[in-house]
Amino acid sequence: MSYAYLFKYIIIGDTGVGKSCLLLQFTDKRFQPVHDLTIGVEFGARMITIDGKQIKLQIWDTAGQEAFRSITRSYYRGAAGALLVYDITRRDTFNHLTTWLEDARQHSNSNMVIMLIGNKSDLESRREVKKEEGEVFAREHGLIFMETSAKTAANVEEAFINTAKEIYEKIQEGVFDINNEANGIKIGPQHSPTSPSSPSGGPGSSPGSGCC
Amino acid sequence: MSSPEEETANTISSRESSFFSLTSGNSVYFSAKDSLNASEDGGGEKSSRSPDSTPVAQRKHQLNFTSSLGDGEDESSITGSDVPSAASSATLEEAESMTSFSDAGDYCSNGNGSMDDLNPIKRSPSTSSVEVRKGISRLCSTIANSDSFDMSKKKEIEEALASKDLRSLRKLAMSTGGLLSNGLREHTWSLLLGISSKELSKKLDTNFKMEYPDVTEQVQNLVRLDVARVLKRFPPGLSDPQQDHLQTVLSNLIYAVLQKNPQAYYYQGFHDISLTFLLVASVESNPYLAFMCLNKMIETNLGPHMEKTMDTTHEMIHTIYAIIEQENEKLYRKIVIEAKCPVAFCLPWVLTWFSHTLPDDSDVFRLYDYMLGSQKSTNPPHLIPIFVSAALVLRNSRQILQDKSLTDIASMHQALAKLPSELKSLEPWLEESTELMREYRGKETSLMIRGRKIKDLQHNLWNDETNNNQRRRAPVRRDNLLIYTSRLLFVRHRWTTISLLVMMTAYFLQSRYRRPIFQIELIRNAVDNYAPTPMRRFLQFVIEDEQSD
Repeated sequence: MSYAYLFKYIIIGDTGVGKSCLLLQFTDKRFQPVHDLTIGVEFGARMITIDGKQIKLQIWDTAGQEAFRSITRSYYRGAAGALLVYDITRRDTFNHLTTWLEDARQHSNSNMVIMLIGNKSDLESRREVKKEEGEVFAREHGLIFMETSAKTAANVEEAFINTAKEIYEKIQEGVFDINNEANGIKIGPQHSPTSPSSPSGGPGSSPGSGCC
Repeated sequence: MSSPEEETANTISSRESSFFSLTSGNSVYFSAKDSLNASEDGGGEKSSRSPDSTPVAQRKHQLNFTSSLGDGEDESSITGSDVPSAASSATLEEAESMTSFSDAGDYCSNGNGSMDDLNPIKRSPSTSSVEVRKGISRLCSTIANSDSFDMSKKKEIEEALASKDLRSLRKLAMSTGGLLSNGLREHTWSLLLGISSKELSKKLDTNFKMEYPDVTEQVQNLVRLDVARVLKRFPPGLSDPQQDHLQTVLSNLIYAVLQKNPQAYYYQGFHDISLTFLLVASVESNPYLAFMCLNKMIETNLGPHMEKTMDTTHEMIHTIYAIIEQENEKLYRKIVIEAKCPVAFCLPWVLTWFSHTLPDDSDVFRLYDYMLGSQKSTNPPHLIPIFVSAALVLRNSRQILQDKSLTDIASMHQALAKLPSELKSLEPWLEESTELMREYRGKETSLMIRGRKIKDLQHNLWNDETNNNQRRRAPVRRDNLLIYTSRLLFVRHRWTTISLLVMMTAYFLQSRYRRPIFQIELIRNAVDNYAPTPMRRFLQFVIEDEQSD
């Protein structure tokens, strides 16, 4: 399938916060109550449309256990977007965000768009982290923030697509160099490299919704 | 209650009700083991109990409880499984030795209050909990019988087991079909790992504790989360309480192993290995055997994976690329150099011995037979799963080489990672693995060194990619000859250019005006100001020569 751009994403965060479930909900539109544990890295892809352009998201889902970080780090390299996920029902997963963020910033390119995600928003009764806390953390660290539920699919599309929109806008602004694959962006095989640094119609003002 | 058969049933049950509280009412599998252990068990050794072990009254209670289980045992639960003829030959002595298992178990179940809270079944054994355990054992014994159940091979295995003929057992475990059934696996695996039955009985009392003070709460939480996610691998048909029960047993088993091996860090995937051993040991509801096997596994096979970080593992699994390079250079180039695919695709294969990846559990057991049987085929044994992984990639080499779309990390990773789920039969693959290990016997070290080099090489490839791309960002347009040439002349070789220009001007002036003074002044001026040292020296020589004329 042809695409205008390919964006590379990584999903990071503590074990059991629902990284793989978010990916499965986004790519397959289904939820597994007991999802397999991720050892090392797994991979998923989906096509979306932004500003009338087909964009392929190539998403790397990483293992949450800290011991694996030396291996998963090699996948941070060359990611345009990152979903940093915590579980709103487990305070410790929220407390670890700083280490994750430092790690991601250190091993990826500086322009990477990071979306902070508080997952399992359907479990309101077991909530341990207030939505405001997530918002504050995101504001302090310059992240986009959203609460999602991989189970009910609430905000899952938006999380992935808003990240893509942000990346797309950065391309339009010329922040991202699309000729450098190490930035996690690839131009589609059928699309000749038009100059992205001189946008004709302003940054994606009317971004479309997800495909399918 | 007086027949020897029933005695056995009782004692088994008592053991299972306490130790990790895994119980089955299925006594038939027991006999084979008993015939093995009877000679060495030495029941007397087990009298040395830990001071805070369970009060006798409680043990009695459990024995009573399990007696009733024995009474209520239904013959139908024994059907469909291989019934060794020795089933009825269990003696009272064996029964006593088995009771000691329960002692250790009692200690364990009381040592950890939190786990008790998690496991209401354990605290109040009821008829339903008995059903739970019965069912687990029955299901565990049926999930993994080889399709090609070969009676003569079964007999061979039993004979080798009886005579503890390790060489034959290794061969039988590696050959087609492996060890056939979990009933036969249970004791063969521990023998293949080098655990003597003496060791089994001895360590039980002296070293085994069921408190986990060294297992941090963080690790316990992690294990709990992981264990909650292994449901897929449980025998099909387990009821909810059965699942809960097996999960608790599995968590306890892992904590116990970690407590025993304080140097070992738990990794995600170790629970898959633990479950495999537990399922096999569950046939006789003997989690203690799983405990022993796992301890041995850490010592001999899993050590490098249980360090604080996965750095050693990461380096080690690059050996797969060294093997592929030796065997099929074209394939190596396509995967490592062209697609630049990192090795993480085989990480779950190596860390869990494929138990996380293979969809069918009976295949997992078969593969464990093979890997446990090949412990002596390669040195160090950590490389066995890597050789097996390499064989899997190599046997699909044609498919990978023909696929033109496999040009980047993502597509290559995807193609390689799904290889195990596409397997139709394990046997040809395992035969090739055997060949591969034989071929590189004695050359393991050089392969590992080469693997390390490939890791660095790939790292440089990635860095080069990043740097090249960054360099390309500079507006060098090689198609524009004028800009290119002027860059070459005025930026890169500016001193040469200036010197040449000066000399040309001097020559022009000399031939035009024939006025040496002017010419020399001009040249000297230019030389002093602009020319590089060698050029200056040369020109000064020319000037002096000119003046002397």
